[in-house]
Amino acid sequence: MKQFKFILATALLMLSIVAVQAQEPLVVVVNKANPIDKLTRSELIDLFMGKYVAFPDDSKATPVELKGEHAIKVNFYQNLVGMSLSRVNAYWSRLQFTGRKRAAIFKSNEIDLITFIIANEQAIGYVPQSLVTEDLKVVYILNE
Amino acid sequence: MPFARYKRFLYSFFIIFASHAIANEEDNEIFQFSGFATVGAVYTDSEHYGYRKHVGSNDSIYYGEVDFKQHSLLGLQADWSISANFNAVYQGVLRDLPEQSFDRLTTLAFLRYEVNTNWNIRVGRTAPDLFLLTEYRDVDFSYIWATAPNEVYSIIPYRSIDGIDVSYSKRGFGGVFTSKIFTGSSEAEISADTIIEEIKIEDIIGISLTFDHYDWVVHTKHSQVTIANESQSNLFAVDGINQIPDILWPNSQTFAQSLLMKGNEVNYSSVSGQYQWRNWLASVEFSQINSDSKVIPKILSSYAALSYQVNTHQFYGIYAFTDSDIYVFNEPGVNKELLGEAIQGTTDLLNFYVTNQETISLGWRWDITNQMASSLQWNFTRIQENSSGLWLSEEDHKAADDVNTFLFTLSLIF
Repeated sequence: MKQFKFILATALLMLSIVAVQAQEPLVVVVNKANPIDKLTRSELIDLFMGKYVAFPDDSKATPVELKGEHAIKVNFYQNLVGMSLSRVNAYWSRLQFTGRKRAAIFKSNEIDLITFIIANEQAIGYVPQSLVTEDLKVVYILNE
Repeated sequence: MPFARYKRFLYSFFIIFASHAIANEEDNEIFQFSGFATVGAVYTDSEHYGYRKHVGSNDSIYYGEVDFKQHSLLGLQADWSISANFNAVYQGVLRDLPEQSFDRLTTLAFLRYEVNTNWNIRVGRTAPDLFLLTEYRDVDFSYIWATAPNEVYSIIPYRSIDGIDVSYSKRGFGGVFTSKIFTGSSEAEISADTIIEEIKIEDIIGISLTFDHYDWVVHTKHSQVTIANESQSNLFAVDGINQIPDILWPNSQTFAQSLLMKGNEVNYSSVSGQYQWRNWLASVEFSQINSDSKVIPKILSSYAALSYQVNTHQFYGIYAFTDSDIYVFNEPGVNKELLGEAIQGTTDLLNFYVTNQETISLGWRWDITNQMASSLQWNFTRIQENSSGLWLSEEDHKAADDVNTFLFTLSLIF
């Protein structure tokens, strides 16, 4: 019975984290040393959809994404471009398999993604607002 | 460096790169491995005209047959980031080809130097940017339809260009402007009912301009190529006509010489646009092929497509046509009674590339997962008399005909 309660409590806790993450705003973050303070939605679309992978000062950007079908990733693209992940993948397959663009760098979870951004001045990624640390700079807020 | 040696060098380099990359595959920042695949089935109801995906195919599908080869393929790609501004890409695609070889299997093999955010240079084998979809028409997952409209794309056999391209991108007017110039050479096969011809083109000079404003995008492309070899069919016809005395065909040798294609220029032009509005997606493309060669007629082709998305399902319709002038033998002073066979052969040769047909397509794409989709498409094609260049015909059938074709593709990326 104790084991059952533990499993139930763990499941409820995980569900509540997912629910909080789904409801709270997603933010686009860069390394705090990056001179860019904010991005427009259009610049963000260009950057994450491989149209123009650079910051507004024309310096190279390195987008970093969550691997697979992560709920945060699904939410991000739905908010940014109104597209399902399948359509985003279809769009990106044109860029990738024609050799026009290199695919983004993928990380398995939010912690790895944040670690990568902290270590790379050109990196840009998206995380739930609650995960923003002082080493990151928020340049855009989605679904406020 | 001679062309063959250049190719051997390129392949050796990429095999070494692939082996090295496989040993380090866990690191997505340096090595990226990906691929695409399609399992496709085709059924058609014509006993006379055999369906084929493109003019390079020497296989065709007739009434009662279900084909799994024409639209099925497997593509594998490796991308090695050598340094911050330098990367190498190799892509091989296994698919139904008239002649299998490592050379034909290799669709991308290039080194890219990213000069800065705006400028990119690629050297090696790249995809041909002749029309809107020619770069990625084999990546079926990337577009909604079961296949790129045959009226525009079947006539293009080329899958790669060996050479160099330089592209420039810049933000402006609320979107991104991209221009690209490219040059190089290419080879491919074109198949008729009884013969497979190797076609070589060189001195390719092309330009591609794109303005992308997120929900709408316009493209214009123009390429000029020079035919680098002579087809066996042309040489056979020229030899035959050269032997006809002037009394039966005045100036036959002059006419015969006009059939030779080597050295002639061919121009490919395309204007296209796409507009996305809520769940609707509209696309249109106009393309034109014209040539100095008497054998290649001016071909005007186009399609317009509309799709509507409902959750993971997209329903679409396409109207496509292709139009070119039919050659009718009318050389002055020729003895038509005695030279019936030669006249027929000449007419067939000069109508080889003639395509006059229109197709209405209805289809349904279902995104089964985020990396896998199926497309089911019905094509109703009206082929005009003497205009079936996109089809094969076992009985040398030339009459007008209506053909229903059913395509099913299961495509995925990984």
